[in-house]
Amino acid sequence: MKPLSDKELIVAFRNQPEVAFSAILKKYKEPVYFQCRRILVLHEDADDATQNTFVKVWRNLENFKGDSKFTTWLYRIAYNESLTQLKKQKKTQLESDDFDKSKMHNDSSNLDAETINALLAEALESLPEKQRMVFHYRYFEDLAFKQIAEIMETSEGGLKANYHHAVKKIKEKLQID
Amino acid sequence: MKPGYKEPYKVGEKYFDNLEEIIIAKTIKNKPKSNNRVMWFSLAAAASVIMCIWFAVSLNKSEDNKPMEQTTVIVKIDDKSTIESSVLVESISSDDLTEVLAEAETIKVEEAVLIEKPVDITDQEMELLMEEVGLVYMDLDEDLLGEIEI
Repeated sequence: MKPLSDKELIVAFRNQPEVAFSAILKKYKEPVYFQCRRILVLHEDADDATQNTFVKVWRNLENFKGDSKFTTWLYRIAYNESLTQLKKQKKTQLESDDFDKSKMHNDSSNLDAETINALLAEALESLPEKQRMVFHYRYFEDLAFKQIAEIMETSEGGLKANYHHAVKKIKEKLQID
Repeated sequence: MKPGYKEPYKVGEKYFDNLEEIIIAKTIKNKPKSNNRVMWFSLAAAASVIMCIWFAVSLNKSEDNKPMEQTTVIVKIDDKSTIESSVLVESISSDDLTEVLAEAETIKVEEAVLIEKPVDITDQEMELLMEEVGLVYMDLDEDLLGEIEI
């Protein structure tokens, strides 16, 4: 059976919200989680942000008017949730002097065995938040700059510059390391 | 995600299944949807109305049961003199007050009767008149006065 498109799922949500939401969750749980994970790095934080994102989707999908793509709307919620989580993370980090940075590096045990992926993950972690996100949307999600600009609520020009810097830094990191 | 790319972050094998269950428990099973919102609004509105009615009823009750507040009761005896009794008694009931006022009115009428009578009446006539209006008349026993000099 052919999976329903986003538009069909949104229409279905009006009549059968439970069924449509389950389908949306199945389809987008992984992309949303990895998006959050790239911003937050820590699994626990990404997990919280993903859950909060879908709770918001459930509560607000009936108000989604379709002015933008569904994925843009969904990723924007996830992006905002991640930023909220990031603020909490930074606050906790500042409050706790003995913040264990090794916790972040311990995640490297979860990395793919292939060295390139491990290095890529490290390189991504070292990027500033905006560059990391642009790289994520462009490289992993294959989104157009226009759509990324809508998600991050910023200009396309700025995003392209950020992407350029991100690629350059990753290249350097991979070559040097 | 672009086909061919590998996700650098790895998670447990059943992580996404568990995540799905958690989210479903927080959303579909919890059902915090608009229908529920309407229901909660209705319940809150109904509760407010009930509270208002209860408050109004209890306010009326407390007004009825409240002991009479300190008030100044002015009982006019005649035009020249007034008795101002700043509170006869704090807990005087409205029945008592009516009685007092009625009594005062009677006295006023009797006073008026007395005033209407000519001043130059005899002692006997005065005595009779006083008995008539119910005022106590007492004969002074001169023996009782003894040696008191007036």
